[in-house]
Amino acid sequence: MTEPGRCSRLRFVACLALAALSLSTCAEDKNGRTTTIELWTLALSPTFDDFITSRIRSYESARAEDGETVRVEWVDVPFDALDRKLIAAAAANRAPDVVNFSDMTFARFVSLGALIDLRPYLPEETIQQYLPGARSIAEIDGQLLAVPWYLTTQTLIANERLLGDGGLEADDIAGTWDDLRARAVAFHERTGVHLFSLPMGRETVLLSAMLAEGVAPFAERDGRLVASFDTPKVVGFLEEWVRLFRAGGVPREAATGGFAHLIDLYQRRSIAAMNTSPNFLRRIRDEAPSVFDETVVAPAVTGRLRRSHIATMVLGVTSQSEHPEEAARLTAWMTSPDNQLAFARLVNILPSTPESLQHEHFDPPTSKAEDEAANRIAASRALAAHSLRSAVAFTPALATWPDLRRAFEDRFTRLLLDDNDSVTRAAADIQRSWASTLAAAAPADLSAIPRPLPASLEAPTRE
Amino acid sequence: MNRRPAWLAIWLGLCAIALAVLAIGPALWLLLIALQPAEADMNDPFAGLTLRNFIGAFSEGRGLAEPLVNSVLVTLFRAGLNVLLAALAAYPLSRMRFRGRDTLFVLILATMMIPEQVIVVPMFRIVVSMGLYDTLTAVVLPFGVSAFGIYLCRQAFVAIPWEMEEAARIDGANALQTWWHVIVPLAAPTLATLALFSVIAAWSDLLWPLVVLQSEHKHTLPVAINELLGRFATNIRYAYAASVLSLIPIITLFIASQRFLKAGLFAGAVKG
Amino acid sequence: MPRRLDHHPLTPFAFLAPALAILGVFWLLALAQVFYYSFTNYTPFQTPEFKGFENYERLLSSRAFWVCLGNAAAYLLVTPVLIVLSMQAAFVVRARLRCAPGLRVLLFLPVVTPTIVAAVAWRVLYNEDAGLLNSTLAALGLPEIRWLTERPWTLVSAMLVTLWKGFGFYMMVFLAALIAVPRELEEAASLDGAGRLGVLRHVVLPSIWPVIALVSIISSIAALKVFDELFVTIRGAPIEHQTVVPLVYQTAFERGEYGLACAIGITLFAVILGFSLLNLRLSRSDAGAPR
Repeated sequence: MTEPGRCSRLRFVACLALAALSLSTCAEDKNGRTTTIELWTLALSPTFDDFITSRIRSYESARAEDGETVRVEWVDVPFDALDRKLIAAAAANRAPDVVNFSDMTFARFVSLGALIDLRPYLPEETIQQYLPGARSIAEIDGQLLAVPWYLTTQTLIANERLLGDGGLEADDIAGTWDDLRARAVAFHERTGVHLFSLPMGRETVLLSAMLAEGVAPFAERDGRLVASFDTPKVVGFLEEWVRLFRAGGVPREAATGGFAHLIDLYQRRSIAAMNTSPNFLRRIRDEAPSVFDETVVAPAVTGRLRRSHIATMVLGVTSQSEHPEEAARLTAWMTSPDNQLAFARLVNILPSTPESLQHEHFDPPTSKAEDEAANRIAASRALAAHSLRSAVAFTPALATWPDLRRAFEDRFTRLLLDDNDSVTRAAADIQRSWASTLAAAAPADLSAIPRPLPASLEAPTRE
Repeated sequence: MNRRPAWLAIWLGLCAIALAVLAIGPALWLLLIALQPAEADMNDPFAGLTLRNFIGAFSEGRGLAEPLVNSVLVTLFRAGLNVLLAALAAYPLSRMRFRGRDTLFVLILATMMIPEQVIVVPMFRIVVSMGLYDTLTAVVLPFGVSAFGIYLCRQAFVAIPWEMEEAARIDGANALQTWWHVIVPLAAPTLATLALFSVIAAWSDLLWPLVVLQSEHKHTLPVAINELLGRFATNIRYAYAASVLSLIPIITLFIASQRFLKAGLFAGAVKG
Repeated sequence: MPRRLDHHPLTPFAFLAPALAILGVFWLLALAQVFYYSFTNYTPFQTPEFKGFENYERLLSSRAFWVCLGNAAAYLLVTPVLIVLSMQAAFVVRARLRCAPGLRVLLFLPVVTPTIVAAVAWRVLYNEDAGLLNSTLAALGLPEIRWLTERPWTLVSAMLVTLWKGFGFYMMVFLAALIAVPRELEEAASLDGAGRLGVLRHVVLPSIWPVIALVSIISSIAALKVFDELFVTIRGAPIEHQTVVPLVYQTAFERGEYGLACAIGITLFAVILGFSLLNLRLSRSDAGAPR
C-alpha cells in the first residue's frame, strides 16, 4: 500500500479498509485441551436444528463425564452443495471430521480416498446393531467406510382430486412402474396434468429402479465384475421409459430437474402423484395446504420384485480428521438406536437400527384421530416402516458407483432430450464407458450388486 | 434539425414501449410469481397474493439478514478498493514516463482476457495458502482491482490538462498530493462511474464467493439465493422472493446515483 | 509529445504496487499455475504428478469438449444482435422523446440486476409447462418451445438472458458515441438530400465505427467467457447444451479433475487470445479510422 501521508481523508479510507478486512477474518480460539469435532449434515437445517443441537449437547456432556472436553461444531449443507463444498474444504485442508453422505455421493469420496475405515475404532457390537442391508453399501473392499444413519423409503403421494379427474383412484396406480406407465399418456391427454414424474436424467432413479426390476446391468467374468449394459433386457427396460418420455407421459423436467422438480410440480398440481420420501408431506402441509387436503398416501410404487428402495444416509469420518477416534465415537452416538428413534419420532424417517423399529411409533394409526392431517402422516410412516421389512438398498457397494451413475446420467439425459438418438446407441456408449471404468478400478464381484428375490417368493418375515 | 416524420415518431414510440417492457417485464413477473402461494397457477397473475414466500425466505436456513450484510460489506469494499487502486495505478500509466510502462499496461490489459472461472482453482489455492479460505477478505481481495478500471481511469487522466498538474507541482506538492488534489477531483465523474460498475459487479458475483465461502453465516446474497434454489424440499418461491429482495438495494442505489450516470461519462470508455 | 513532470524513478511503481500485486498474484500467477496443472493429474486429494500432454489428448478426443467449443462459437451470435439492439435503444433514447430520461434509467435496470436473479426470472418465463412464454405461444396457437430441455433452445435461452443483461450497458456506450457525432454533419448531409436512412448509413455509422468495433470485441470476449447465465438458467441440462466455461466448472468442481479442467481452461484462453487479436486486426483495417 502507499503511505497515506498527511492526507487525512486518505488515511481515513485506508483505516476503514484495514478495519473491515481484519474484522471479516474470523479469528479462532485454539484451546489446546479441547477436542473440536466438525460435523456436516445434509439438508437438516432449519427443521431439525433443535434435535441436532440437543444431541450434540448431550454428547458433549456425556464426554465431559468421561473427563474429556469435546466441542462439536455443526454445519448443515444443502443437498446439492455437498460435493462442491467438501472438495473445496478438502483442497483447503479444512475438511470436517464427520460428514453425512447420501448413498448417491458417498462412494465418490471413497474413490477419492477421503474416508477412513471405522472398524478399528468401533466395537463389533456397535457395528452389528445396524441393518445389514443398509450397512452393506458402506462396506467396500472389506472396509467399513461409514455407518448407516437414517433411512428413507418411499411412499406414493397422490392428489386424489386430480386422479379423479382422470378417472383413477390411488389404488389403481399403487403397484408397479408398469402399471403407472401404462396409464400416464392417456391420463395426460385427458386431464392436461401429468400422472406422475420421477428424476430420470439428473439425479436419476432409473438405475435403482432397474435393479428393483431384477435387471442387473452387470455380469461376472473370470470372477471379476464387468459391465453388461448393452443386453436386450437393459435396453428393453430403458426403451419403455424413453418411449414414455417421448410420448409426453412425464414432464420434460423429469430429464433435467432432479428431485427438486417433484415437489414444485406437485404443489402446483402439475403432477398427480409422486413416489417420494414421506418427509415431503409436512412440507406440502405447510406450504400448500389446499393441495395437502387433496393428498392421500399409498404404498410405494416398486419394480417387479415388489421391493421398494431404501435410500440410506451414512456418517463417515474423513481422512483429514485429526481426531479419528473421537469422530468415530460421535458417528456411533448420532446413529445409536435411542438417538435414531428420537429422530424418527420427529420426522418421517426410518432408523437403520432394527431395535428402534420395535417401538410403537411405527405402528399404523389405530384410532380415527381428530387431527386428520397428523393421521395421514402417521399412516405414511407406518407404510414406510412396513415396506422396510422387504425393502432393499438398490445401491451397489462399489467405489466406482458414482462414476458409473454419472456416465449413465450424462448419456441418458442426452438420449432423452435428443429425439434422433437411440437407446441402443446410448446403451453401447454407456457400456463402453462402464467397461473402462470397471477395468481401471480395483476388482469386485457380483456380490456387490443387490439382486434379491422377488418379495412374494421369500418366506414372510416377522421381527 | 427538421421535424420528425410521422412514421419515424411512431416507430420510435413503439420501440420505446417494446424496450421498456423487455427491460422490466421479467423482474416484474418474478415479483408477481414470488407473491403467489405455492399452489398457485403460474399463468394466472391474480391467483392470490401472499407475503409468505418473503417471510419464508427470511426464515429458511439462517435467513437473508446475514447474506444481506455480507453482500453490502463485500460490495462496499470491493468498489472502494477498485476505485482507489485503479486511480493509483492509472496515474503513472497516464502521466509519468518510465521504462516498461507500455509493456506493463499491455500485461494489465491482458488479464481482461482471462476467464475467472478458468483460474478459480489456483486462485482458490493461493487464497487458501494465505489463510483466507472462508473469509470475506478472500471474496474481496482478488477482485480489488480490475484491468477495466485501470483502463477507464487512464483514459480520463490523459484528458486532464497538464497546466493543472504543473501548477500544483510549482506549489511544492509531491506526486501523491498532486494525484489527490488535482487528478482525483478532476476525474471524479469517471471514478464515480467506475464505482458504480464495481458495485454492480460485486453485488452480482456468484462463482467466486460460492467456491471460497463455506460457512453459511458468511454467504453473500447470490450464494444464499443459489442455495435456496438447490435446497431439496424448499418451496422454490422462497428463492424467487429472495431474488426480488436482492434487487431492492442495488436498484435504490442506482436510482439515487442517477445524476452521476450521464452518457458522457461513457465517453471515457470508448475514445482512446 | 506531451510534457512529463520529473519524478523519482521509483514513484511510478509505488503507485502501481497494490494493483500489480493483486493482478500479479491472483491473476497472472494463477494463470501460470493453471498452465502447469494442465500437464498434471491434479485432484483435490492428490498431489500433482506430471503427465505430459495426457490431459490435452483426452481433451481433443472428448466429444463433450468439441460440442461445448462449438456452442461457445454459436454463442458469439449474441454480439451482432446485441449491437443492433443496443444501438436501436440508443437511437430511441437520443430521439428526445418526452420519456427519454426515464427510459434511459429503465433500460439500464437489467444491467444492475445480478445475473443469478436475471437467470431465475427468465427461468420462470421459460418454464415449459407453466411459463408465461409457452402459455403465450399456446394462446396464439403456436407450437410451444422446449426452452430448457431441447437443443438449440437451451443455448438460445441463455443467450437471451445475456442479451437482456447486456443491451443497457452497450446502449450507454453508443449513446456516448452518438453524442460525439457532430450534428452539423448530419444536417449538412440531409440538406444534400440524403434521406434519414442515408444519413444513418453515410454519416452516423462511419463516425461511430470504432465504437462498434470496440463493443464487438468486448462483447465477444464476454460471450466466450459466459458462465453464470448457463449455470442458473439451464441448470440440469446436459453439458452438451452448454459452453466451455461450464465444462471447466463441471470438470473441476463436480468431478474434482483439476488437471483436466486446467487443460480446458488453457485451451479456452488461447482461443480468446487468438480471437481478440484477429478481431482487433480486422476492425483496425476495416475502419481505417484512428482509435
